[in-house]
Amino acid sequence: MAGHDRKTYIKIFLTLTILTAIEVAIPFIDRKYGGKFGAREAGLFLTFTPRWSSSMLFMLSIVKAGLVGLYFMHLKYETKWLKFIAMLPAIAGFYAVMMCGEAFYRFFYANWNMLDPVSQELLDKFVAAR
Amino acid sequence: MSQTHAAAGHDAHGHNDHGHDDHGHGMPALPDAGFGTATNGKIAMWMFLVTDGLTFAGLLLGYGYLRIKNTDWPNPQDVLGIALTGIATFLLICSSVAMVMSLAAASENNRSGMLRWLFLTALGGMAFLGIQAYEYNHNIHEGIKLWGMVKPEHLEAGEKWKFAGVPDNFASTFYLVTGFHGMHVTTGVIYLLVMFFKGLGQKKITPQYYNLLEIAGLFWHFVDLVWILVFTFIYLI
Repeated sequence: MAGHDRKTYIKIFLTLTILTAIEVAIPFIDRKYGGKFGAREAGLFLTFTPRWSSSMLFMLSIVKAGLVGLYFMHLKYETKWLKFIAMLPAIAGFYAVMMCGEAFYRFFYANWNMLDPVSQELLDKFVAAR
Repeated sequence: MSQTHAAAGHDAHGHNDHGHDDHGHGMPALPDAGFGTATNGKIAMWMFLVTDGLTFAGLLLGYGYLRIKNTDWPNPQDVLGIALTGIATFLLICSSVAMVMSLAAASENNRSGMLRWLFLTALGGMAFLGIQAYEYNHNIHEGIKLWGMVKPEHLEAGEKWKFAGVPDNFASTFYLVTGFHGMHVTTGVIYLLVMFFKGLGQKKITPQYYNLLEIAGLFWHFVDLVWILVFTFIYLI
């Protein structure tokens, strides 16, 4: 029976709660300030996504999932081989990158005169800025 | 064997000395080279979780592809209640903590504490399911249905619902992914309740029971882990 460190559990719980609160706040912040201070354009430039919040939410969720896996599922204290097996579904991330790349390729280059007005405007600004 | 042998320690004798550690029952049980002291049941649960994780990955990838391809995908914030689901997420995290607390109590042979935390864990899962049922009910009244979404302004006067002309990927993927997860939560709650009554039925916490509880906990934490990803991808992004 492995030792259980209640302090660590509480720390992870608090971290998860705070990160969840931040996550839930992000769409509201995006709605209120997304159009200001050039946030949308900066997000488009940095992350190639029209919504800057997407990449941030993505990273936060990965961190949270990692915390649950490492500390609550005790993966931190398992052998390397078991860790490797547990990480196998992460290969979906590779497919996701390929998929996004393909979709954005078509979005920006192949069909670039078929964009919706908002994306077209963004793209025009993006091109003009270069 | 003599006392001096034991006092000399392992260093002097190397691995030929292993036979001295057991008490005449053949070779001692060594930790597995690949899995250490993880039990067979735990390894099997991890392998199941890998396949289950890949299933969720497939569903989420399908959702992601449909969403990237669609330029008129609604902003989830406009359609779904983020705040309520945020509370549901918090409840699921709380129940995950209750599960590790239950295990911690079990490791200290604190049977009543273990049962109390385990019941709270199952209760958290049930509360989550209640919120999800309320949410589905609300969504269906709003016109978001498995086969598609008809916005209220597109309904004729006096019309309560109608089939969407074109299958709507937003509603379909929403119900498919969250519904698949909801079924996992349902399974998990039943699993936890079975463990609860099993624990209620025995006077002492046996190592076998502890092992089973740890495996049940793995499943429950996995459900929580997947929800963290599903919540972000479906509701927030």
